[in-house]
Amino acid sequence: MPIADGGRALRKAAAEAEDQDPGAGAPPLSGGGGAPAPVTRGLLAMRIPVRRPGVWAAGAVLLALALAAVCAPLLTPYDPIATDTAATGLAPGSPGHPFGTDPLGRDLLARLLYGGRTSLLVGLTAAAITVGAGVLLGGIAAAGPRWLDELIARAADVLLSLPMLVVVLALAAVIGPSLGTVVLAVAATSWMSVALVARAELVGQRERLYVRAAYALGLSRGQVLRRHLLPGALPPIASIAAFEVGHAVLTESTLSFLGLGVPPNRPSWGNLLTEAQAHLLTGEWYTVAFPAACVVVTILAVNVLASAVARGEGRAW
Amino acid sequence: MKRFLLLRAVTAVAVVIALSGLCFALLDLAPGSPAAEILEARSGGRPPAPADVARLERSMGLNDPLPVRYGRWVADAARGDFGTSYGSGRPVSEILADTAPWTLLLTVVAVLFSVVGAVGFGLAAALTRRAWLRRSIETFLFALGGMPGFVTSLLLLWVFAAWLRWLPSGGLSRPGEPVTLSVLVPHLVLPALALAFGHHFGTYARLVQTGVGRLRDAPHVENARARGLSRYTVTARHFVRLGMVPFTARLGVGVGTLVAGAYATEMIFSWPGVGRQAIYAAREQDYAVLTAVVLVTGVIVVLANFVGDLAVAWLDPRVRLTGGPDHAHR
Repeated sequence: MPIADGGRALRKAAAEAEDQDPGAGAPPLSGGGGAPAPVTRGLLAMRIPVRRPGVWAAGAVLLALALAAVCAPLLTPYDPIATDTAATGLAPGSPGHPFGTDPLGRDLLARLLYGGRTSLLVGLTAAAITVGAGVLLGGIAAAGPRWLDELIARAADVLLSLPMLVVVLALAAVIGPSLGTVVLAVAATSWMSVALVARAELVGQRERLYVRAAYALGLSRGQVLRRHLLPGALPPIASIAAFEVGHAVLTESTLSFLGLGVPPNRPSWGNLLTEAQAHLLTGEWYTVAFPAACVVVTILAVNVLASAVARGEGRAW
Repeated sequence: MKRFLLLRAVTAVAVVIALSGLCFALLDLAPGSPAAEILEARSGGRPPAPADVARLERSMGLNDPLPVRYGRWVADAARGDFGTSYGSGRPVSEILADTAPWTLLLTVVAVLFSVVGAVGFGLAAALTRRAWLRRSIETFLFALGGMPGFVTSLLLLWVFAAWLRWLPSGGLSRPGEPVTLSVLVPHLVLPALALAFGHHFGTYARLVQTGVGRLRDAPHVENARARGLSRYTVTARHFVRLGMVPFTARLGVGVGTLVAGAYATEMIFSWPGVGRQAIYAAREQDYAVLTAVVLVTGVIVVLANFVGDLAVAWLDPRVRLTGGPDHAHR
């Protein structure tokens, strides 16, 4: 799926955005009077195809997962770390333990719920920082001096041509495993795609009529950026941001699974899988199946939503 | 063509230089003294005397200024000398020589699986007239797209090793036992499949499907049909070849993800390759090994990208003429 990491594809996308005829899609300056259709900009301009049931289902699944993670203490009486020697290795459906317990007697449902807290928190934080840093760097590249633009572009090129996991691994090894490490490692290796898109969008818009008109009317750089450039660049950034969330969840689970992400004493979906891997061959399939299903369902749902945003976004212009 | 190749080669070299800087920074910024680590490893875990550490530090040149250390490190690395492992006290180059062939074998087979599978599924989806077949292929590919590589590995492990018991779950190399072909092949199938399916397989197949599908009714294909060429000739020569271009371009980039993805796959199937070594090194903070692996992996990836560019240029004459794949296909 298009969890974008292809440098070439991105450069192509950036080139296409720059190639756009600067004046072609410019909305009229005043939306009042006899304008045929109201011009919406910013996030409202995204036409998310709401009639597709898949989009609703994906949204509902994500909402349910997030709610379950937030309300974890209300949904289960068990402590995710406390072991119970009287209830080891129970199969799913056992009384009191609907998802079963692991060989140490820890309730699997509790571990999944609290693990979801960690995984989703890391995923969302990492994606937010990625997008923030990407937009900032993209903005600097678009508006700043030429050498900074070159520097950022080259840095992005180099990072894009390296396998992400390798860089993350090196970072995680130097800083040591913690939640912050994972967030930092994800952000450091995925800001490039956001920055390239943001830069291309901003550069593409800078020459449009309505932006030049805004300058001509005497608006300051900051005002133009806030009122015209950023809202216009938001939809494509939003769609890439959505993919970044899925990407961040994936990276967290992979790192934690390898023992380099979230510290092992804190449950996360990736951590659950690390411990469960050995159970596969001894027959306790459910300790693997449930956390794996959580990761896969989350990423699929995010991907469905992100593709929907990406599809709708093109039509806004 | 020459200009295109030159441009790509320059970029590749720049990336390798940047990568070497990154690796050196990793090695240099890492906490702890390499000299102390090596002495500790050699003496079997006893904390070394400060005087010994200082002497080794001097002889390793750790007190020299930064540019000197970097220059020496690059020169050594270029000759294949990556220093001594902090964890085992063995030369890193020896460790690499032991593990790299296994990773190479695994990734080459995985890339083969990837190409055959993606082209197969993609062509089937693009050329079939049965809607249910196309639909089910598309659904399968989308589901694969949401699966992290290691989950795919776990799934295959569970189905074929734990449940059906058709294939071994891992443990290829036992010390003292030679690896024969009849041992190797069954051990290779699952990790290679997991690696292929777990990394952008859906994207590849989709690229084949759209690449070929778009060309199906292109004017030059109609023309070839009208000239009375056989169905096979038209398919093979006039649209499949050109339809492969987006896929090939993406594959060159994707090999990098595959090589990196081998880290997790090797862990799960206890495959004695570089990736497993890297994870161990990262956990034990054995920066000498980790840096070497990162550098070697990075160089392999850059090479793969370069080869991907060459392949695209060979498949699509327009790239050769215009000087870059970036604008050739819309």
